[in-house]
Amino acid sequence: MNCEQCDQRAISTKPSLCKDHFDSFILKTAQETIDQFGLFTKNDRICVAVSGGKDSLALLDVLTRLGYAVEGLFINEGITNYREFSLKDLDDFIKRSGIKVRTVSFEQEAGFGLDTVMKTKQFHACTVCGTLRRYLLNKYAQDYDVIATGHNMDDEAQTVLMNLARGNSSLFLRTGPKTTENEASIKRRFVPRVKPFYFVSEKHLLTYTVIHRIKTDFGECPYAPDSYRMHLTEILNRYEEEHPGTKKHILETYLALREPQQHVISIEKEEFDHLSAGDVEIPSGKAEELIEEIASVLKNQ
Amino acid sequence: MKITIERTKETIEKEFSGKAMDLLKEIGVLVEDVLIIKNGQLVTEDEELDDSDEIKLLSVISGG
Repeated sequence: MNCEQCDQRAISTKPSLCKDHFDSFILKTAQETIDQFGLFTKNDRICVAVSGGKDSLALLDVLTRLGYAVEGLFINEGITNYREFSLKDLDDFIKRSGIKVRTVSFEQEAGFGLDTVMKTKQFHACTVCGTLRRYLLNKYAQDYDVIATGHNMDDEAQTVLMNLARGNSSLFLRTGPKTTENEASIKRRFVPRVKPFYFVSEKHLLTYTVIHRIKTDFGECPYAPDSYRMHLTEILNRYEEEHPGTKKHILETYLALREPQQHVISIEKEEFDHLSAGDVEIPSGKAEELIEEIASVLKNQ
Repeated sequence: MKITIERTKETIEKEFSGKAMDLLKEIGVLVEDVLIIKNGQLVTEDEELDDSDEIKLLSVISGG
């Protein structure tokens, strides 16, 4: 198969593009998403939430190439036989790129890593991990204008379907390319979260890392295989193969169903209800309650 | 043909010649789930393969 735009051999499908045209396609898609949804400008300081996986390393690389001021923030959850491998890939990437990446850990912030929490058998891994990660990202990104995450088209289509299938109507309206502040959150220093890869597929992101020799070892979170999301991933990929364009159509329909102004969505006030007023507080209510609850369970064991 | 599947860390020896998409079908792997590396080069699913090729399938799905 040849490239749609020249006579070179294609290295991607949907669209069929050669290495050079594929590279331009990824940059163009990210730039169009940034512009269409007003994610950030060249004057903004961008904190990229880094896991050491392909999506976040590709994001650091793409945003740097597009001329944006980016730095990374790596959260170490404390998952043995998983996170240390992506940390090594991240170190290699930092050495090559020279991009500044700060590291913080659950252990250092809360006094326990995720493995320790899971040994109690009293908590759901993804709930603990997600809550603490969001809290720490926001806490350590206070000096930035936005937090950019490597969420891709597959992640987002899965999220839309998950919320739909589970009847999470309030969460359903809270996804999208940009989660920004409302009046309550500005006061409490919520840093807007943005997703420049909203319309880039997971397969294309892996292709990008392969052609740019960004090394990311395949690693699967030991707590992920049983997750609801993993089941949906398998179903959605099967559907995409039989009906190409499914994931993109899910996202386009999702966005079209909302009012235009809702493309930039607001976080819910309840997320911050446990906070006291003031301009310097950091959104922490749910996370701090959870840390206290886990600490109490660990103490009694 | 030697086929290495990254996600399951399996290596399969199999006689095959034809399109990569047909090989994936035979071994029960979705095109959507993998990138195909033929003798160290990234190729698309319509690439013709023969028995002497060494194939590596990179997993698209990330670690959750």
